[in-house]
Amino acid sequence: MNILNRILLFLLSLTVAAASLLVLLFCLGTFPAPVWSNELVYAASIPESIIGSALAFLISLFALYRSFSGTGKSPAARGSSLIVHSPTGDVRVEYAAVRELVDRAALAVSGVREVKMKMLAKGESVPLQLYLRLILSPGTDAARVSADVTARVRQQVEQFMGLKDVPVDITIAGVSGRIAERKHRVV
Amino acid sequence: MEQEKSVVKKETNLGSIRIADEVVSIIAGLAATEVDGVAGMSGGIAGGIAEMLGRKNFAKGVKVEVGEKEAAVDLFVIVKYGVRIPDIALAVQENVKQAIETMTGLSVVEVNIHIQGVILPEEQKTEEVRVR
Repeated sequence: MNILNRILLFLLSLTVAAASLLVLLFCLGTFPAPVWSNELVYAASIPESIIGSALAFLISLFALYRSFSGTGKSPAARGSSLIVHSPTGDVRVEYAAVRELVDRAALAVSGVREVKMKMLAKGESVPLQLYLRLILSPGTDAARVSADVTARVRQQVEQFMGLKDVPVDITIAGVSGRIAERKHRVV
Repeated sequence: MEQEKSVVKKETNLGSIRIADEVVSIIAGLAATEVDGVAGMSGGIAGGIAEMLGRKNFAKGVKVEVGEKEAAVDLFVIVKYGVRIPDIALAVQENVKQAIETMTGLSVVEVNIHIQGVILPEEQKTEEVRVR
């Protein structure tokens, strides 16, 4: 969940908590009814109440929409690579699978700290094109690392997906001394 | 009771034979997971929740379109790391096609494979230990 959605969710939760607390206090008879009715009449008369209610309603609608729209980018939005097209059917490799293969290949190169990947797939004409953004460790030879990563990624893609000479565009996005957490270092 | 979607396969003087769509899905799912190199089927959030509640879903990761005489299948598969995907996909297509045609008599017009992920051997072992 990104930062904006977190903030909206926080504000919505706070509003719901405050409203439910007020209702609870009212039900428990914490304050006399005349006090409540005076406060409600006052609240209804000020423009801030209208603006606040309208905002809360819009945020609720947005939260409702997000709750039904899935977990963010759909696999279709991220793309899939068509690697086989035959009378028996098509074989597609989704972004997550390609990502796993590319991560294994790129992070195995000494000097690579982090890899971000985008892929482009346009059917049979362009089955797969990869755009990698690398974060390197300090003192690394960027040219050597780029060549190594390109070679390894192409070899991995050819070996496991059967696609030869896949274009790989490398961008050196930065240098970092932080060691990125890796789920698995060895197979 | 909600009537499940099914296809009238055969009508005889003794009655009709119906094959539920879910049956075709289950056949396809089982045939796909039999292939060496296939780690499992990708069922998404609903499938994951159903499995957490202890309900085995053999039709997970399978979408079928069933007609009177033909069927088309889409499989969402997770493969093991180290396998050659085109070879595995071909084996899955053949196995699924044969299984459905043999068991239901439907002609399979296409079997589309969507490779959803790659699983590593230690991840596979962790899942196996959990279910024993």
